Amino acid sequence: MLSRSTWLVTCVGAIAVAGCSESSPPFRLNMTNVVAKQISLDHQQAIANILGGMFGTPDEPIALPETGLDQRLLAMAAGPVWSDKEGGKHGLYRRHCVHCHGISGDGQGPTAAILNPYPRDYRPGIFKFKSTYTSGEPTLGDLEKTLHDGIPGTAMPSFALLPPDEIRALVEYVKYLSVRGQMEAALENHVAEELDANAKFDPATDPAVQQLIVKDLLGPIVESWNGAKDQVIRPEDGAIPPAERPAGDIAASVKAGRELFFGPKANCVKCHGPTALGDGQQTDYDTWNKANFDFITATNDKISQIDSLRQDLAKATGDEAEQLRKQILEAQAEYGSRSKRIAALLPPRNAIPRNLREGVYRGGRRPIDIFWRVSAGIPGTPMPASGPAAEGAPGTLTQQEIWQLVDYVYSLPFEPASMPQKKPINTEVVSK
Amino acid sequence: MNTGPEQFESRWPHRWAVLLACVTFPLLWVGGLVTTTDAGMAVPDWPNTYGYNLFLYPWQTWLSGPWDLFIEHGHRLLASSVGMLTIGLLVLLWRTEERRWMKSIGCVALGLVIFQGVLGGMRVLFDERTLAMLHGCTGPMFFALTVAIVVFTSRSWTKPTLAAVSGAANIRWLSVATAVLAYLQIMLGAVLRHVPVDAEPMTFMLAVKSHVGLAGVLAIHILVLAILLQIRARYVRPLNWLSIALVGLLLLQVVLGASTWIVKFAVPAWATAWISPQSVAVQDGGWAQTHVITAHVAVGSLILGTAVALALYCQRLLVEVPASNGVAHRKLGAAV
Amino acid sequence: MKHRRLYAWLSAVISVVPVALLGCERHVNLGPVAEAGAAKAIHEALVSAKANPAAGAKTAPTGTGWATLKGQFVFDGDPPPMPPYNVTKEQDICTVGGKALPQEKLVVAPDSKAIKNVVVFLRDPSRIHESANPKADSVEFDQKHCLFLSHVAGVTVGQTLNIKNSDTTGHNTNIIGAGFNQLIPAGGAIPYKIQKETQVPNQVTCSIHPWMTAYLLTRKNGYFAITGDDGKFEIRNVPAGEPLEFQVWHESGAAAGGGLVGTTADAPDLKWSNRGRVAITLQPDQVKEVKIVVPAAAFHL
Repeated sequence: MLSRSTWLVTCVGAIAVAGCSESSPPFRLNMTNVVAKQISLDHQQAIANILGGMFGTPDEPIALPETGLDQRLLAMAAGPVWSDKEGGKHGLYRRHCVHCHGISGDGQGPTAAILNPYPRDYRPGIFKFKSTYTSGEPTLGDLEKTLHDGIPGTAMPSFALLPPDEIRALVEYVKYLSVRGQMEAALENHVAEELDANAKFDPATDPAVQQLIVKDLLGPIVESWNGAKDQVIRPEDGAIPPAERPAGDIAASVKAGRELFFGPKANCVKCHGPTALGDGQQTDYDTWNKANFDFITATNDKISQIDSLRQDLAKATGDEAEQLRKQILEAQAEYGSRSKRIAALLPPRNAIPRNLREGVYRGGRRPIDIFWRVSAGIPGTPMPASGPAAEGAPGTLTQQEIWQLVDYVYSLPFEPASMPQKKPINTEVVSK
Repeated sequence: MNTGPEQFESRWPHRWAVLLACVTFPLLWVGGLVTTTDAGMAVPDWPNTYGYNLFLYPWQTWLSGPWDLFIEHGHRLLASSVGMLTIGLLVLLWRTEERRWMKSIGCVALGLVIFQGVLGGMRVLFDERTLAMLHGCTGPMFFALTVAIVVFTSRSWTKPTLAAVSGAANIRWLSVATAVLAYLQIMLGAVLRHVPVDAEPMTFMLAVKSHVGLAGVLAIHILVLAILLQIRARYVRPLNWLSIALVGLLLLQVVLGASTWIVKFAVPAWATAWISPQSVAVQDGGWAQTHVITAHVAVGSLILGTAVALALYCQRLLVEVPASNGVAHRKLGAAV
Repeated sequence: MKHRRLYAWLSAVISVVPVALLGCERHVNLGPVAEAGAAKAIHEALVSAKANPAAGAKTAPTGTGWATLKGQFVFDGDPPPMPPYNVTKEQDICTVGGKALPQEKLVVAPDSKAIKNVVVFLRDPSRIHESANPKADSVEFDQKHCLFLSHVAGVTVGQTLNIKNSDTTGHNTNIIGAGFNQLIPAGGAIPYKIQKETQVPNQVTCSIHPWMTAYLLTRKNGYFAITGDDGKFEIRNVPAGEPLEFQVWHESGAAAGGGLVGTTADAPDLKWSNRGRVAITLQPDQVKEVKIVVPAAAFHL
């Protein structure tokens, strides 16, 4: 008797609850971009359908041959969390990643707002810690390293306890979410730039659209990922300092690095500050936060535009006035949809330069990791490249100079803070 | 309700209830471990385990199998022993207990443990995290009930030594509020641990803020209650040691909570002045992360159990100082 | 007792929180979800499309001969005054005589009302005259007084942008969206070969001096122009005898993507869209000259 009523209560509860949260959450569009580009509802649906046809769903991902993605690895990482009898893990992404990075890889999982830095949004395909030139995609090895080591000083943990094939599957899935996100941006861009609001956009019936999306839009994205392995920055043999060096050599290198740090050539001091505590230029944004910041700024600009239109309306008559009234209504509608979107945005945060005295190196603590950070900069952030922008291009610093900076960075946690600061040339210290 | 000294009173219900509470607490811990290690779906069927009857699943396969299966099947085995202990308790109460309401409580306990078991099963069959959350809320409630049964069958309850304390009504009220808040705090914690994967960041942030805010409110309640009891009723044995234990658990829980934040979300930027960030990232699913988080969950239930015991004893043992008698802190005889 | 009511409220509120958090209530427009049937049809079409590579060729040229579009952008009314750049450091280098230079969000000549830094380019030409072929030379892109000397610059793919720094302080040049962010040493220069075409000019910033801003248009052909101090532009040798569409862009343009919507009362054959695009068909050897009047509301400032 008791157990029957319990069953009843539980089933009713289960049904009620199932109606609330989705057991197989779908991919979502980047609504900030959709609103910013004022994409019509029909086109939003068309883009969602195209992405569904090209990439599938979070439960059943598709590796379109043109993407070069591995269907088997994607299947390992996708879908709901469960384990089989042999202990094989399924739904790896939803087990380990989704709570921060979100189902669509937008970096807006449930925990995102309380984390600093925010979880990475994979969709622009920009990754900070990698071995390639600034504009290149990361190699799969770079992403594997980030998963294996985690990112010290952030909420990104190390997944060193996972077997290599699970890490590999997760990396493939991250690449999948990136390619999908880049494809989404390309589609949204195309629709906003090229199509009238009521133009049809359906690759199922139109071969020209098939050609467009696979060749013109997807092609360059895949090419960039496939080309990553040829974009790796390789230090010249002659310039790499040997592991075992006399103390005098290290001291000389550190001294030269210090000169560069404060000098007008490398200019590290401008952002990392004269004490290297990261207290220099602190007002810039990284790419991801800047997108939100720009969206908010542009929304506020709409107000002044509406004001300006109203002033014109006061002076206008006849057809012109009618036209202006229409424009005001349009601008107000856009302002409305934008301000609703702002409520869902993660508040933009400034990119704060790294405190180099903590001895915490987010992209890895090996000399080569710091070499890559200095040489290619940190993509997506204000940190500029000081090495070449591409193979064979001239860099601002020579490789030897970059290694000197690496040595100086290593010495900074041990440099007494009271050490007389060299007044940086032509720089006033930014007061906080 | 009071039993005369000449009446026969079996100690077995009390001993059995203590055993039940002592087995339930590890069950909560293992249940927390299931959530922490995301092992809830390691066994796809229920009430069977991979087609085997729960108790006939080959123990060699269980012990030597993968960690997920070990934990999930272990949770089920432990849970069924708790269920059977509850049945045993009900039988004991039925046969030896004079108080009719105690028999009812035994029935409620059995109903709750069955409900909890079915809830766990449904969580598996529907693969529904929200049911897991309800399951995670009902567990501590059952634990609190077992603690209550321990209290009701204890000598301090059945043969109470009343204490006249000034402001007794307020203390009694505060003790109940503390226990209720402790349970609400567990519910908020369950929300945090079972958040849907497509929940909005701002929603989760609200839940985190509620959990941290309520932690502050609860801590103030515990401290005020403990201080009042220490000042006015230290000589009442269960109130004395329970209030000390509650404060100790509170301190432990605050440390565990902060550690949970650090192993899960890293040292917050504002705290790096005091806690230097780790130069090596926390290992996901590593020993530290798994057990710190699970311990935070388990100690939450322990706080609830202690607060419930304290609240019940406060109701039972504290009486207001009679208006004619101005002297506080007087021990009264319990002759009624 | 008073506090009982308080506690009842507190408990009720806290109990409601978990229910509210279950995800039942959505305040945000999450947008559409792929329709399973439509997605399947698209998937099948894409997979089978490989078998018959029916090349969706670009619109074939329909006209012959070449024509020229030229004109001038004029501000209607009185432009708002430009505040000075917010120079927060290195005053000795980044100001001229201690005074920060005015911002360049909207530069209008005081007398002629000519608008500077308006970008005009031809969208999707069907054919390209040899004079408009992409170039491979080097274009100077200098910075001085912590400002980009070319506030709006245009280059073709294949050209090299020679990013110079004529200041005595270091800069970094961050071309947003292009994956280029390079340190430019004081007195030095870094060349950057243009790879990709843009539909909307990329913003160029310097992280060290956050007020520094410029825009860089990169096109696959030479059919673009940027107005100078006189507000004038000229695009020569565009395909004649077929419909053309020009994009007009300004950094403060209020239309989608920074489009600038003007009016051409004396040239009714120019059709403006609300995104700052102009449709026109020119006759062979025609030199079309237009005066484009831009109202204040076409800018957001």
